[in-house]
Amino acid sequence: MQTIIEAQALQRSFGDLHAVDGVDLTIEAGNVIGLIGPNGAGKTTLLRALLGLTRCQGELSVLGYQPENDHAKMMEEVCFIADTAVLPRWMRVAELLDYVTGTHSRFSRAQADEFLAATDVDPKRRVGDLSKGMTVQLHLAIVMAIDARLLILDEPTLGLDILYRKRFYEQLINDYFDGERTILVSTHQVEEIQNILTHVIFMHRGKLILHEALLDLEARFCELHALGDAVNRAEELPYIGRRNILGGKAYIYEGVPSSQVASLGEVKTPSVSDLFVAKVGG
Amino acid sequence: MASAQTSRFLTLLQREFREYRNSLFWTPVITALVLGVLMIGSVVLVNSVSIIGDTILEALMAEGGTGVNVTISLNEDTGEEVTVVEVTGIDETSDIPDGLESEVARIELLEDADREVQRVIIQNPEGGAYPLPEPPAPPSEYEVLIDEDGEEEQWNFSREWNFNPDPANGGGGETSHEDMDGRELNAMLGVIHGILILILLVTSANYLLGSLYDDRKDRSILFWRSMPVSEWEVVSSKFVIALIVAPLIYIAISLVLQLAYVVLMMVLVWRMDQDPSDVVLANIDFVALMLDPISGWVMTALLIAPTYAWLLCASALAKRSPFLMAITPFIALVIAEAVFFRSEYIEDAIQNHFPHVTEGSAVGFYLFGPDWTSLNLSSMAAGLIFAALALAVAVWLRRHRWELN
Repeated sequence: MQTIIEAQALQRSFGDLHAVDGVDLTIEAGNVIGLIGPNGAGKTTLLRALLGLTRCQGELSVLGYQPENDHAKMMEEVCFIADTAVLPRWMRVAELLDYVTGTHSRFSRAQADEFLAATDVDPKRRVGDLSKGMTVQLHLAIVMAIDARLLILDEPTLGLDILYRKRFYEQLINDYFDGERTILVSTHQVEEIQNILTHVIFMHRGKLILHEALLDLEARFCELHALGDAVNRAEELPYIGRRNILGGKAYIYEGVPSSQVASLGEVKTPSVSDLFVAKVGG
Repeated sequence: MASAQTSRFLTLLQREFREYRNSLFWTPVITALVLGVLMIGSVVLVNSVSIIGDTILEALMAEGGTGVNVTISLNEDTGEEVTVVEVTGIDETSDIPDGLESEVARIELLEDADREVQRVIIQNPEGGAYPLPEPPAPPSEYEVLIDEDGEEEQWNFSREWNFNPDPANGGGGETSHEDMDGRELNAMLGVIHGILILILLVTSANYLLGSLYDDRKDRSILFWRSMPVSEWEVVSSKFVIALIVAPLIYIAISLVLQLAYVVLMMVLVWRMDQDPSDVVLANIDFVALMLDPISGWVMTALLIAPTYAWLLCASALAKRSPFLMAITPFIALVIAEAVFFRSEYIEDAIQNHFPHVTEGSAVGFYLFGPDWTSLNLSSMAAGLIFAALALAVAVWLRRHRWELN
């Protein structure tokens, strides 16, 4: 497996605020990684540091480039959607495609036109006149028509309705992800993307508090639904999170074999969002 | 590879042009159309005396070996436009053509110290062609005052416009306009060009101040920076647009407008029953007409490059107002220098690189083409070095300090 991103002791402060506080991160090619954290966790700052858009301390290498110094060259192989409203509003859709065609050597105009043909986006319209959902479709069409190795998405579906969000991620996985590309997506709408992820990263107050393959979550964490008297016994085990459920409580354990708690009730693998609440809000 | 680089850069220029097509293209086109319509209006309504008519009149008389001095000024109190045509080399009242005599409201005879001056005042000439004096004979002089009530709206773009094409005015029967020979109308067309250059400078300043600020404000910089385009390319494309592409567009439009004016002037003169080729074509140096705007802009560009680069730098630096960011440091520096050192080096440096016209100096506006001998090479070189530094700072800011909050 090829290493796409290698970061050590990455740090970025704004005054007293440590937006990124000593992050060590290694990301291999061919994965879909969800960067999950509450508002203000430092997700955007971390992604901008990876893209060379903001200065940071520490060691950082993305696709072998130094992001800040080799930014323009690196962007030949890295795509980035910053959020829903960064496309230039004054431009017409066709003009935007002209621009990308003229500046990006890995962009396929034919492919972008094909993607756009399946949407309601009219090439003659101004970007500013498109709805938010259509703007995101346009941006995704551009990005998917670029043969990049790494795609970074920072809250790409923020403010979109559920239909657009669903379509966005479906398209990303079905039409774009080929097992070799790497996608790093930040969001706090965890439930919607957990089925497409291979890895999750939890970020809280500038630090990574979890970086795990989704398949390994099962071995490391388990969730027990304890009903009635079982609650008292479940309480004695060292849990990392608990919440009320109908008729009892749900506990999430880290490093406790599921066989050990199986006698207390129903055991399953916690959902990413429940795990996130347990780790962050515990 | 080189051609790929070129086509990339052309894409960036195309992007700029598309974003600012209003200021880069439609503004000069509409200005030219308005000026053209005004000229057509004055051709159709020949009787309403306009600067153009007067200037052609003047050129015609100069052609006949007479010194002419045309002064148009606005009366501050009444807003009336007063045109004064002073002709040397004309003898008697009878030289005033018949048509003009009929409209002379009063003739004042003034006693001047050495010479006799006849002042002819025409009020509100109505109907018929504006009469032209015949090419004159022996020396003497008179002054025509054309009182043009309520006609000031057409050409009041400058409140006082003084045009004396013949420096040897009154120098005797022999004219000595070697500089001007056959170019009398070039200067008038130069004024038309000056209007477009003025608009070019204003729109360019606006363009430069916005170009590295607006995309940070609307956050589209996050998209531009997601493309494999270096900030050097971005900043230099904006600089090239302001310094080369926009001026070329404006100059091209200006030349078309000037040629249209030549044609319209010929029609105007023809309607005055004069020979257009004698009166108009003989007074225009077409080579200079074509080349002066270009050589003039080359000199202008060399001089104002630091100003433009600074505007880009201010645009990249500003958090709130690029305009204030651009001007306040220099105002502060000029004042500080005046207070602490009692000198004016910074003020002079700014003046050398800022478009202006005064009696003693001009940057950007050259009625008779640029005067290369007056170019201060060391000042120009210093300006270009400053421009390079300012651009480098703009690129650095663009890469590392682009966030607005």
